[in-house]
This record gives sequence, structure tokens and C-alpha cells, in this order.
Amino acid sequence: MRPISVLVIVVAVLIASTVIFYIRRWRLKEQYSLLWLVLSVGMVVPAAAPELVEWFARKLDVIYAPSILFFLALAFVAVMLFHYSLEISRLSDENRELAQEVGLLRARFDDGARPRSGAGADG
Amino acid sequence: MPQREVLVIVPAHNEAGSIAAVLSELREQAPDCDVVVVNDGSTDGTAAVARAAGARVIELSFNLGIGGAVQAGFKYAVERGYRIAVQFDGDGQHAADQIALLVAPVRAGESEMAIGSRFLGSGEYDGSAWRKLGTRLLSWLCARVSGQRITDATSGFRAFGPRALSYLASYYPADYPEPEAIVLLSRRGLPMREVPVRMRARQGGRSSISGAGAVYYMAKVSLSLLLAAFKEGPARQAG
Repeated sequence: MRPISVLVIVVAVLIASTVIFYIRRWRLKEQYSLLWLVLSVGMVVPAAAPELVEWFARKLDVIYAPSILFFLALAFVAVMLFHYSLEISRLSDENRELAQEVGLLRARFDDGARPRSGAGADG
Repeated sequence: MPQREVLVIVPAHNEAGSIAAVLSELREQAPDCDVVVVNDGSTDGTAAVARAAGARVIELSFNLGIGGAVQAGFKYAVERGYRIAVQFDGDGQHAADQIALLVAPVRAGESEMAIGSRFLGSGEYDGSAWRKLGTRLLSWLCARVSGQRITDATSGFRAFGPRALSYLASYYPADYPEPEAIVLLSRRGLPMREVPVRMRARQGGRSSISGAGAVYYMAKVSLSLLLAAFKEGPARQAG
């Protein structure tokens, strides 16, 4: 096995164990860890079997085989970022709903605190 | 205190300098309306000034932007059973004596949204040439997408009827919502019209739309106008 393959596998194990470490500490949700675990597994495959990359390159008529790895890595990052855009949109929607809800509840609370006056007395 | 038919929603973000005058104008010129100020995360005591002036206040914990603030007002209106609501800016641009003009077609059941237009009427409009151009451009785009004849799509001086209110309480864009709301409501088949109104130059505060913000504004609103035509309806519950 080439040294670079060993290095990649070590990094993959580091990523996976970091993810699991944070899940154990309740600081990372499983939902978000999934893509990272997929990444670490995905890294091991071409490191352990470089001939697979060569084979794909021949099939896809790619001249420079490692560029397939760059493409996959970029695709992964793009998917990850889009996933975060979706999550941010959802979170900001929920945040807005909450702020409005709190505002309405506080207004109702204010109504209760306000002294009941005669009709139209306080405009 | 018996509840009135019309609720005036006054969104205010750091308008401590103008809100008192706006509220007293409302009390004098539109005495038959209830007023609620939506304090959109102000840092300048807007809420305290509004309370001191006797207004009811919805306090938002942080700044949501004009859309989120006005939507809080819509939710308030729906919750309390108001059939008509008017959006009325807290910076003094809108004239309270024009509210009756806006409310009339909604009360008559002819329109679910009445938009106060600066361009239909005779009132002079003293925005810059760029601002005028941008407003015109968006109105044109909005008219194309919605099929409505709209001259002032960005106007925030509007009256809403019960069907528009219940829809917008659930679906309202967070920032720069006015043009998109036209498309959303017209897609739901809710009747709307423009009413010529008089507006003034702002008395205090700053426009949220200037400089680089204007470029973002144009891009965001144009995009959302085009995409609003494809947005799903209320089948999807918010949240």
C-alpha cells in the first residue's frame, strides 16, 4: 500500500472518530453526522483500491484519473453546503415564528396588566 | 375597551424620533381604528415612546425585518378577529387621513388588498430618480408576473381584508415583502386594487434601501417576484 493511501485512511478514521466523539457528547445530531460518515467511508474506498479510480477513469474517458477524486470532493462539498442552506432557511423560519409568537403572547400579557378602563378612556 | 373594526399595524424599527407624532396623527385623523405598534427589535426606546403615547405594542425579541414585523401584526389581527388591517409605516411617510380611502374598497368587499399608490394620485413624490426608476421597474415586473395593473408595487401603505389576512398570517416574505405579496395574493385569486394616496417624505429614521443594499434589494425582489409564481399554496403548513 502506498504511503498516501495510509495517510488518507488515517484521516478518514480521524474524521469518523471526531464525528462519533461529538455525537457521544450530545453536541452533534446524528442527522448532520450522516454526510460526514459517508465522507469518511468514501475516502477509504479509493485509498484502499486505487485501481478502482483508474477503471472508472477509463470507463468515463477521463484522461487524468485523479481528477475524478477532485470532482467527487467538490460535489460532496456542494451537497453539504446546499444542505446547510436548507437548514438555515428552516431555522430562520422557525426563529421568526417564535419571535412573533413571543411578541403576541407578551401583548396578551400586557393586556392583562393594563388597568381595565371605561370605553375609549385610553384611546 | 370595545374592539373596533379596523386595526392599524405600525411596524417600527428605531423610530423613536417619529413614532409619537405618527401615533398622535393616527389618533386625530383615524379615530375609528385600533392601533398596534410592532416594535421590530429597536435599540432606541421606540417601544417605550409608543407605550407612553398610549399605543398597544407587539415586542419582537430581535429584528425580523419589515416582513416579519408586519406579519406579526397580521397574526395579531387574525387572533383578535379584526376583519380589516392597515399597514402604516412608523416613519411618518404615510398620511393618516388617507386611511379611509384605502379601507373603503376593502370594507365594501370589492378588494382583499388595497394598495396606496404614490403614482396614481396627484401627490408629489420626492424620492430620488434612481429610487423612482427602481420602483417603476419592479412595478412593471410585478404587473407582468401577476397580471395586475400595479403602478406602485413597493408601497407599504395598504389595507387588507379577512381572506388576505388569514393567508398572509401564514405566508409572508421576511424581507422586502410588498411586491411579492401582490403576486402571492393574485395567484390565490384575491381581488386587489390601487388607490391614489398622498405620501410625505420620511420624518425620521433611514430607509432600509440605499447604496449596496439597493442592488441586493432589486436582485432579491426581482427573483422572488419571478419565483413567487411557482410557490406552493397553503397545502404546506408553515413550520
